[in-house]
Amino acid sequence: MAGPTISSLTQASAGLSADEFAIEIGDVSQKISLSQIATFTNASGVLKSISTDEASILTTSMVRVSGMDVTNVGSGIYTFEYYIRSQASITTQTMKFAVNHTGTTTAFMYNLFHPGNLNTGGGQTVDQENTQTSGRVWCVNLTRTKNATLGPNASIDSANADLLYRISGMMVVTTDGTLELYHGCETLTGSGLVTIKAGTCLILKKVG
Amino acid sequence: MADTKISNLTQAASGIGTQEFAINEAGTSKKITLDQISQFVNISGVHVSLANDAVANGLTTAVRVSGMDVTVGSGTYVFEYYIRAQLADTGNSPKFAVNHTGTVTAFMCDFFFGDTGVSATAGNITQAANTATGQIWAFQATRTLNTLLGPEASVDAANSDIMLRITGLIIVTVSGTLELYQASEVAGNLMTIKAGTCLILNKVG
Repeated sequence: MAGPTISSLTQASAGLSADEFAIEIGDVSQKISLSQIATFTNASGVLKSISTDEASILTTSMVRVSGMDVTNVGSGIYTFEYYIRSQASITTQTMKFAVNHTGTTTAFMYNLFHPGNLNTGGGQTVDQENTQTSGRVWCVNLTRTKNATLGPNASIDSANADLLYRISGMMVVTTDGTLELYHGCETLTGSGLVTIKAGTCLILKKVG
Repeated sequence: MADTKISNLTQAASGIGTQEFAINEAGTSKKITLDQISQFVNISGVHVSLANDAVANGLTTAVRVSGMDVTVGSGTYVFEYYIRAQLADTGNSPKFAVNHTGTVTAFMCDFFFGDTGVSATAGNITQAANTATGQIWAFQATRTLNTLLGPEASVDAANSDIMLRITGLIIVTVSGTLELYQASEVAGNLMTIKAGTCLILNKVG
């Protein structure tokens, strides 16, 4: 490749997905885009998020958070970590969640964490504002069954205010499928809407 | 650049952030550093850590841990701080806050510590408890930027490491600096943020 030295080129202000690199594959010169490099390198760490709020729901049935689907999660061992930004329109409404994989898995476990309102176990009010000297107990619901519903709890500290739920889990996949996040309402009483908010995200790592 | 096949070039020993690559950007030849590629790809997030202890202080008002600053632009991020701290007196305890100097539309963070309690939190931070029942992983939380979380009641040992964790989510619309602040519960009682304290910041959207 003839041309100027790399150092004499104009510095790009930032990497862009369409940026192209020269590569060599089996003695053949080709080009690769930065987005292709990202796809390859992120094979061990898929980052998924939603940039706009999901449609609010009022149903106790589980509803797929469509923007959080990760397709083609194939054979391998994975860990996953969801950061779920959620709101309910009334304080007596809470959320429940499930994680599913549409393919075949031989192991599947996940834990749903929420900030509790007590310094003892079982704080059923999800409370995102807590500066008590003693601290409080971070509460967990757990399952080893795929697509099992975890939650709901009893109430939340504040209506229309952000709550940070976390789901941590691992799975062993043997047949390709889609990793899905589901959510639902605790109750229809009071018609409290539940919304999965922009910023909700998933870090999926292939570890084996 | 000499006209040499890529496969004939000397293999670099490892990737270094300042290494430069030639690119075509919309018809214009430019260069890009491995740091920039890494930032775009976000392979494992931004890592920031303290190589040396921060200056010990006993202020009850928030002090920025200057070595932990990181510029954070528009986007959605999750962050995780692993804080190695020591207090000179067991009657003292730490306080922490996370701030972003730009504009954010959402922010939540939880501050975690190992508590000596087994059935209820006591606010006594411990890094050396191993009962059969397990101890409580206690937390404090906020949805407000730059809000000090803590203090607690005490720490289990003076001048000994405790590991504290802060995790959170932030949506940034105007670039700014993500900052970590610390303070002591008791005025004049020294607290040190120790070398090894680190941040893992992942851009997820």
